[in-house]
Amino acid sequence: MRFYFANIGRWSLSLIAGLVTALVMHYMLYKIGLPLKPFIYVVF
Amino acid sequence: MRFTPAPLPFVTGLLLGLLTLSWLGSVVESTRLAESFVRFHMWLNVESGYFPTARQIRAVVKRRIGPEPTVHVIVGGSSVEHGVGQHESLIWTRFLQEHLGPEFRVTNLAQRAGSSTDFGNIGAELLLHEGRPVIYVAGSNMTTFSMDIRYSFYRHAMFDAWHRGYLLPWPPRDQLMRDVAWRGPSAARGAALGSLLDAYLNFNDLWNFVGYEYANSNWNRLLAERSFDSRASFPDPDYMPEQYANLRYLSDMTQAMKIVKDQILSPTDPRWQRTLASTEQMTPPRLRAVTLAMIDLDSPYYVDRLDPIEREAFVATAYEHARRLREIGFRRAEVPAIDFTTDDYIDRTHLSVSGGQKLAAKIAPIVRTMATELGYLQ
Repeated sequence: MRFYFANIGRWSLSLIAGLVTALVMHYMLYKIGLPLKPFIYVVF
Repeated sequence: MRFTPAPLPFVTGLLLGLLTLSWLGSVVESTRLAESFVRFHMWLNVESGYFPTARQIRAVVKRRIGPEPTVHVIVGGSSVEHGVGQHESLIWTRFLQEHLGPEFRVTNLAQRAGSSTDFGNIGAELLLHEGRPVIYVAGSNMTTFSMDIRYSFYRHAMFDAWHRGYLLPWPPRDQLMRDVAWRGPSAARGAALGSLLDAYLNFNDLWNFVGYEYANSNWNRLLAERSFDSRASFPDPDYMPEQYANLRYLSDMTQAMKIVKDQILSPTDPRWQRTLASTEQMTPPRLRAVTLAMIDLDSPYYVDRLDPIEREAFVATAYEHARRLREIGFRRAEVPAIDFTTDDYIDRTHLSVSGGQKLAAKIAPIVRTMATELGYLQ
């Protein structure tokens, strides 16, 4: 029984870790596309 | 205690998370942005680290603010058409809307340091793509109508629109867009490949939405400590006429005059071929057929300092450009600022409120005529 719950716990935590990684990855994809420094000042 | 994730649930969570976030990105839409839209002002554009997406452009163009107009008028171009020099309450496109009346809906998609082929055209093309009645009012500088997409500040939006199928098919441009992803300059390649990924994962739409509605996550030196406020909380920063009173014509005269003179091209100058080739590549014929190109002129404050021969050549350059645009299929190409005065500008290029009013009054009848010619109006 204890083993069963431990397994469920590990599964749930792994699932949550996967979800959190997805969130970080999704956000990083957004951030990575932005220029490191502003670039329009050369015009104005 | 060390935790090692179990592979199957971890990968399941990762995929599930990505799918959910991608779906969210595809459905979120800021009605506030669309319904209160006047222009993508400085705090809503690339200058302050905010990159409007093609979907945001679509939401703005198709905003539900009353009955569907008979004709959509999309304005594209540079800071001149964007209305730099005019407070949002006195922007020239408001006057244009007043002149045209409720049958028309004017949407100003012109951008600071933009061109008519890298942002505003997206709004016009997506409407044309859907068979809706649209007139594209497109600003142009003296000798160049389009900007090389590889170096445009707004290339991200163009690649985004292209991947989402918002742009009209046009093989010469399609080829360029394809090539840039693999053979373009590194910055442009990044934007092209990023858009390809974003077309499936919708990360730009989701995080732009969060940044607009709740909290922005990009630090920007113009916003400094306010960088993390929601973009919706920033008002359009352009000034009222009385605030501009002491800011007008501050540019260095020598430098400004050099820029004015450098724009003069003789009708036989080989540079015309290059600039027209770029315009043809970036503007699909279907878009040209509904476009009113406006060649922007510099202020007489500077132009009148040219000697008479140079002045004549300067004006002739603008008309030559207009003629060449008509020759390649633009429905209209005009030089509306030909009789504007020094008071109609705030600096070398940007119009004051009076200039904006004159511009609106001049082009409104042309837009109306075009709408009739195109069969939009009975």
